[in-house]
Amino acid sequence: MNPLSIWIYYVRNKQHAAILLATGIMVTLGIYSLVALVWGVFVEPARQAIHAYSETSLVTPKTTNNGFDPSILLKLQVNTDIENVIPSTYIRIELPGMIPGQGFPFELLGLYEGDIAYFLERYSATIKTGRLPQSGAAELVLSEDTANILNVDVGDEYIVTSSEFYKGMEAPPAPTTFIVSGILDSNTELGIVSLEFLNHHEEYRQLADRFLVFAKEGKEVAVDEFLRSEIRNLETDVRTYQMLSERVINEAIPGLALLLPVVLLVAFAFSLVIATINKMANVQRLPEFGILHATGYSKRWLVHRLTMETTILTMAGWAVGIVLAGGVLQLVKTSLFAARGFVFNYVSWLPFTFSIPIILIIAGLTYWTTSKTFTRIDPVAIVEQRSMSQETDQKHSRDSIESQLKPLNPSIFYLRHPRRTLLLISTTGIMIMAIVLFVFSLSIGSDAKELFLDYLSHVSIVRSQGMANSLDSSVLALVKDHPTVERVIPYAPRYNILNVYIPPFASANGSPFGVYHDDLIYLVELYGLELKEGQLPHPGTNDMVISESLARNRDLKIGDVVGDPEQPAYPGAPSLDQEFVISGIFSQPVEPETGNGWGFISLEFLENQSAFNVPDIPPIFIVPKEGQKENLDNWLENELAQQNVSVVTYRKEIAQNKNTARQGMFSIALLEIGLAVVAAFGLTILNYVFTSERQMEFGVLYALGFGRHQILRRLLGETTYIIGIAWGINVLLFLAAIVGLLFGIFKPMGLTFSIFKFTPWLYTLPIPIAVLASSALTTLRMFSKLDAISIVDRRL
Amino acid sequence: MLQTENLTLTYKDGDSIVTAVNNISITIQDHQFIGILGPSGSGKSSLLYLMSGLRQPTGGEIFLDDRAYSKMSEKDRNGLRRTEYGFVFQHHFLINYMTALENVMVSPIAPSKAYMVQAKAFLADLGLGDKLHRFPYELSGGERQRVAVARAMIHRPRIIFADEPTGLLDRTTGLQVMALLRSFCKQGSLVAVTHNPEILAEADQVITIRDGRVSDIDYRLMHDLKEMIS
Ligand SMILES: Nc1ncnc2c1ncn2[C@@H]1O[C@H](COP(=O)(O)OP(=O)(O)OP(=O)(O)O)[C@@H](O)[C@H]1O
Ligand SMILES: [Mg+2]
Repeated sequence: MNPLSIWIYYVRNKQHAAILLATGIMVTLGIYSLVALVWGVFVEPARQAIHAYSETSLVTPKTTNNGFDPSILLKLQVNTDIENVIPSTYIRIELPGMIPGQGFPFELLGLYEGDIAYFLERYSATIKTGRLPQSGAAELVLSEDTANILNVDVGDEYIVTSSEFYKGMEAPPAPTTFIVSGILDSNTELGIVSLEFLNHHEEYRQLADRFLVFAKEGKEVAVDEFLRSEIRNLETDVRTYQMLSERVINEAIPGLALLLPVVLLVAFAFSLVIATINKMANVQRLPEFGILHATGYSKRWLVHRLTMETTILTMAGWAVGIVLAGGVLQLVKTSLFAARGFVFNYVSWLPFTFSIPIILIIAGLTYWTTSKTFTRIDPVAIVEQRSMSQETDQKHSRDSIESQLKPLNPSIFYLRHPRRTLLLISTTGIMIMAIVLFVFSLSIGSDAKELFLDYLSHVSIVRSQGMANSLDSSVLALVKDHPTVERVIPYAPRYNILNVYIPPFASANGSPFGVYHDDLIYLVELYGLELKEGQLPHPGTNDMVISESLARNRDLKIGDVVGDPEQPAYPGAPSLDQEFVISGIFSQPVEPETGNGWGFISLEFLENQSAFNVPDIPPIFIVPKEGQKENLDNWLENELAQQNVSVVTYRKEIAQNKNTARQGMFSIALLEIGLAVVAAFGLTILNYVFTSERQMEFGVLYALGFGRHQILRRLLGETTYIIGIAWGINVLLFLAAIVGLLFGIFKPMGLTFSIFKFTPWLYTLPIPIAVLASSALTTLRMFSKLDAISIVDRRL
Repeated sequence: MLQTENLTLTYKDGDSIVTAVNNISITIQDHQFIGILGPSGSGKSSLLYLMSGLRQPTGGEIFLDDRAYSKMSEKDRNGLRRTEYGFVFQHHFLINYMTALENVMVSPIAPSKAYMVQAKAFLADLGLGDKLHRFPYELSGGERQRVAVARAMIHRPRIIFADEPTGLLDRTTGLQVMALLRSFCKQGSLVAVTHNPEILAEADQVITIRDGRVSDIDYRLMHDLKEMIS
């Protein structure tokens, strides 16, 4: 073998090679799996949910009072590229996600009996068990995967109670029970109900009519183009499968964008580890380099060679890591995803792309550090065997050194090795940061949301289960007569008119409530709301008063128009059939729970707008008598809720909000366990390398009479000390960042959150603990093999 | 008084067995300077490791006063090196991130201000008064070995074991270090492996070892007495 080949060093130094290889494998395995899992858990189900439109495009003509413009249908039918146009509508349900609390919208298609056969043929789907829905029956067929996800089989009931049902209305229609009549054998996730049934069913009368447009084979692009350019206009909404997919991806981008820094940070932390290991190995190899340099090899050549050595090894580690990740993820797929009906494509460009920076960062950092080391090489000194110790270049400044009384204190080693200390602190910190970033964004979002629930602090809500339905008059009577009730305030079903943006990607409903004028005055007094600017809505006008938080959050001013599809009040604002004008802004209440979330529009006005669909007996706010809030809520939740009505109380909403955040954090906890293992691995290697370099010290201490236990305890003390400091520093840094976030971004946006919540900080612990535990184990192992005599007997 | 009785140490080296120490019985009285001589590989270091409790013998027994090593726990035997013994190696083996003074302060069981004062005085006596806060790599070879000697002496041991302490030093420095060690005999005993006849001249006893056995004990003092009598 050529003695100067890139491999020779590693062939002869198997331990160094093994450490580098293992590090490369671990970081790749960790990052690939992390990204693939995040994709599989958060994005893939959403893609799966729109699969039903993969063979078709959606054309939705806007309806007027006379229905839609029939010429649109005609235009579609005469196009020779189009094979078929079938009418359809949909019920949006929620498919549960992979983790608790997570769900994805999925559309059950309503199809006429005569069209179902054609539709299934286009998707190469066949009935596997049972039969197709009967015309006009509340029956449902599902593809096998979808049935698995919903955990239903032929003959089972499936109750539709979706939240995001129609036009962003807050509550679903009254639950409808469908019977699963058949299961489809299909590669595409499908759910089909009888359109005849939907058409004749009160609850679904208002569903938009849509057409599913099927292109002839080979004409898909032409049809897409035709739909986009000729059909899509103000009166018709067109969605091609590509547009739907793009939307799914676009919605996933913020989350993935948050993942990128995590991946980069972890890759960077690992490359620091690798760079350090290399540097220490290079110090041992300085004579080799010195001699090579003295015999005429340029420093550049040496730097290149070293970088190549490391890069090739990292690439090998990367390749093995990818293969291993494939194995691990295949296991996860069969045991977790496939078993529950979820598609999990772990072989995908995304995790692959995310894992590439590992090599680049490691190669880059290696190149940088080696060239830095080499500029300092003095070949003469090396050949003469001087200045070979690891940190001799790191002369301590004379005046700062004061001999310590107890030189074996845990602080001494790290105080005297500031670079190592910095490295350990920064790598630990980076890994902690990577995770806490996620947790805090959730916790912050949940906190900020609470701010917009506090309108419920002095009232509770009772509404019909179908939002558009009238409240039962007997229920209304029960409420009015109840001894705890002071006043009953009817309000219009709350449409999605305005929402609050909570960075980085949460939002809260900020829509105003439609109430009668005297109730409005009453509520303003009850909560002590004060106008900061403008005036309260005049009854019967499209005026709107909003909270200062919302105004600041969306940068809204008096006179701004909300609902205009052409000129949205803020990017992404919902477009409405009816516009509203901001007439007033409340001052932000100083005290918490004082109605920060309130905003009002005139119920007198809404009643005259058919689009807003105010039922005969609308939902009600219930104001309790003084001191009776708890009694009222108990009665509402425990007794009135039995009457087929929805009860909303402050405590329930807050608990639910907290619960959602908790569930999200739980899934992050799972991610963190994976990351903690990877981080612990990297940091343990670092610690191990540092420690094994100190063999001489331990051997000498042992020869001087220190027991193994004493030395071990001291070493663990040192590790605990440094990891503890790393943790402390990072917590402080993070606290500073959080405070900055609160006052720099959230407060100006009219939002707030609590800094001193315990749980998110808890998430900073697993990584340090994992590092400590694994360092303890490796150190123990090393000590069981420590042979003091071979150390002191070594002739140097 | 340290006594060895039929002390034996064998190493398994693959299939063959190496007897590094073979049936050695010697006695080290208090305040004695014992020199150990012998060719390379004869078992000198092994004997020191056995006597200091670093290694366990395969046969025989060692007594410190009346206490047998075999009756002590490993912890107690280790403890002896921190209280009763000091060790100086051929190489200085100072801890490279600790200053000279700190390297000395590693030895005392309970480091205290008093020890610190003493350690400073000690190093000053060794001519290192202005180099207390230097790191080992900022000291010369002789200076490092002097710090190592100070480390072996600070806790006032009864016996110092020195394994070729001057082997890597030039003659003058070697003599300086040896004089230091020699002076220790006022407090306790010194057992030194050395090839330096200049040093051995002052020894009370010179034990020569060959193939793990004591081949000769030269009782210098007796010799002197004999001379006086005749
Ligand atoms: N760990 C070991 N395993 C096997 N054999 C050993 C071991 N240590 C020492 N020996 C052998 O024991 C014998 C005595 O070794 P020792 O180191 O005590 O000799 P020494 O007299 O100190 O030699 P030197 O003057 O070279 O230091 C030698 O033959 C050596 O090869
Ligand atoms: Mg020896």
